[in-house]
Amino acid sequence: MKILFKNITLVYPEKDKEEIGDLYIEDGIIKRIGKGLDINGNVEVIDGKDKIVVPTLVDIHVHLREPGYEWKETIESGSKAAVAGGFTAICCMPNTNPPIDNKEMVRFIYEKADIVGLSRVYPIGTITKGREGKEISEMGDMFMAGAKGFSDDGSCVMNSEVLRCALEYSKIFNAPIIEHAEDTNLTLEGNVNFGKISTLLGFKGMPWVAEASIVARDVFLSALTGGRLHIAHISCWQSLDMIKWGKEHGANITCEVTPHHLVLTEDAVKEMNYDTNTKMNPPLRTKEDQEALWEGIKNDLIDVIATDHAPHHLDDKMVEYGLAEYGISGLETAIPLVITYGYYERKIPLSKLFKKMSYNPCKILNLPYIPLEESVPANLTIIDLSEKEVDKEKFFSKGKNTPFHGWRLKGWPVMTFVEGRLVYREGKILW
Amino acid sequence: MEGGLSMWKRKDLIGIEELSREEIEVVIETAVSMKDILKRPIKKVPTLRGRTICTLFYEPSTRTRSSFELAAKYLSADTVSIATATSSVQKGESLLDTVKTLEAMGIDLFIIRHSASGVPSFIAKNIKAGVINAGDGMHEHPTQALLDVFTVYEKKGKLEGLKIAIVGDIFHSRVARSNIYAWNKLGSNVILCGPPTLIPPYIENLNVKVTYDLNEAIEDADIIYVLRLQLERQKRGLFPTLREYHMFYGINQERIKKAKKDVLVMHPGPMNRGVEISSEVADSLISVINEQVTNGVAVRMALLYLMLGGKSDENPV
Repeated sequence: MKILFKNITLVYPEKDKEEIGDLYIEDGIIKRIGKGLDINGNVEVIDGKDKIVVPTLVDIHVHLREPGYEWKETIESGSKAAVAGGFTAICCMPNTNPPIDNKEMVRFIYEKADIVGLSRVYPIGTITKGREGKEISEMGDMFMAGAKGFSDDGSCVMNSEVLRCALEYSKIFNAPIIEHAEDTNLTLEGNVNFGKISTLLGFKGMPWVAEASIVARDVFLSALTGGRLHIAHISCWQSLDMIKWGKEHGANITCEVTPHHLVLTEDAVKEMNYDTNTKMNPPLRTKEDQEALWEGIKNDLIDVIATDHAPHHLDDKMVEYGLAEYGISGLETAIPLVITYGYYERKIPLSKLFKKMSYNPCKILNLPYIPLEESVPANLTIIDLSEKEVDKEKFFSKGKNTPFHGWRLKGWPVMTFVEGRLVYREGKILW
Repeated sequence: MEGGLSMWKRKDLIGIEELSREEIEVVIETAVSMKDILKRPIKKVPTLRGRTICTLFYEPSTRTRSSFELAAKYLSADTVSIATATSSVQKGESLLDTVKTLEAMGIDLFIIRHSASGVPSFIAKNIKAGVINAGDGMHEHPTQALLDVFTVYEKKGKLEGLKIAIVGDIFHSRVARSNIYAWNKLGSNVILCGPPTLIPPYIENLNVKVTYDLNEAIEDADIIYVLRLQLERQKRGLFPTLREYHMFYGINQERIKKAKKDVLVMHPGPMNRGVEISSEVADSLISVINEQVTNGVAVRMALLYLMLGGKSDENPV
């Protein structure tokens, strides 16, 4: 298979630059990158106008639901969604049933993902046994089996001493503790952000303090222990201020934001008339928070954009708002959302945006990063910048729970190469 | 009354928030005629013969449910009444399935009460039959607000410029939210009063004043609207004891002296006598609490008429 992309925008996240050039892939290997390339023989030539190529796009916050909740998603359906969404690798969160809290479970994920053979799937292990927040799990054993980080995601480690121990202990193998920051005493029965929308719609509300106070505690614990801390799905400016303080004081911390917190605010809950696809944890916040998050993207206080892909069955969402599950299906809308709202609307350079979805998360979780270079396997995504409508019925994910159905977005993945294999092309999975 | 039918275009009544002033006035005008029917010895007219109404209550209710049912019966509609404990998606039928099943039996209009905010909108979006919100969680209770403004309209003849003090648990109150919208749309001035733990954030955005001082709220008030205090709130630590609550926010004869001479005291019921309101006030001449109940039937008849009336003759058999 020989493909030559002419005049495509080559994005080099690790070098903070992009340039227009030609890219020639032969049998899965990047053979040539340059200008005015002319390749003889039986070559498919693709016009790269309005197309970009980005290497090693990864999503480090994904819920694959297997084992335990296979009606919501499986490793297979999630892997398909990943490559259709343009990701060459994903990290799956351990809040399965049973949870990924031991070596065997870590190996199970690798085995299933290898059988599927689409995107790479790297498991995150739990911080505590059974995700109960009480005793730290066998992190070392899981790390040796391939766990890339540790998280009780879905739940916060409320006991500060347990988290302190986890941050200390994980220094042995230099893998981060990934925190879901939420003081659940403050968020119980909350449903939406505590503020003007909770008042109008009649909800108790989840105040920003529930997140920011835990972020502050965790930043202090990281400073105390020197342990590596990664804060998942930041949603409010106060959390960012705490992270800024930590980074300025040399704490070993990183953080991520989701596309939906960048694109939507709490107003969506009202505008969409209690649509349960606006129910997220952390909740959609205010315009002010949203602006702060974009500012954090621009000034690199935010290291990573990750989806928190949370597929749910229709039955879990077609219910009373208060009973609906939290979260949305994110893998297949992340890249167009980031391009439409980050690049086109806010003029943030592509290399900066995609660094947070490739190079940065790879460094944080020690995942292999394969750049755009000659003689390496093609591990990259071709993205078409033209506009298309989001159609949830075409998702490969079992989770059709998206608030973006019908939105017109620019920047859709059209080809995904994983370690030399073209696994996705224009709506089709290539096995 | 016929003019009302052409004015009212809604399939559903979810909240006062989305109603215009004109729509509220149409309901009040129609309720005036309906109240005449209630005064007759034979309280039945054939207006809604052949129409079917279902009251579906997932929360305990005495007055709202019987009020709707009587309103329907006085207009000759057929009624089905379902009262049930809060549904659980894990066990048994989903809420939407229940409603769709009933709709398939030919229900024209659902009257829904549910402890979860947003349920009536959720149902209304997913069925063809009409929906009236009879109270959803902490969101809205539109028919309560309509009967309240109707009551004051009857007593005072106007609503423009009146000072309305709403006192108590604003945070958890759907009655307060619907009332705020209704009074504001009709030109009254609303002041809210309660302990800070029971005042929701950003409520000032709804063009109301907020005070923690009951005297300030009551001073020169035309209406004191007392909210029911749900006793279980105390267990969650939102205020220390019922005794202390009454000390600061209970309405008694001493306190109402600061209000206007012709002040009216209102309460959506059911009352906790001796907690948010003293019996002396509740049973006094200035209290219109029983009048509210009567007017509840008239207002609900008006709504049923506006939402179902006139349509049964479209396809005469």
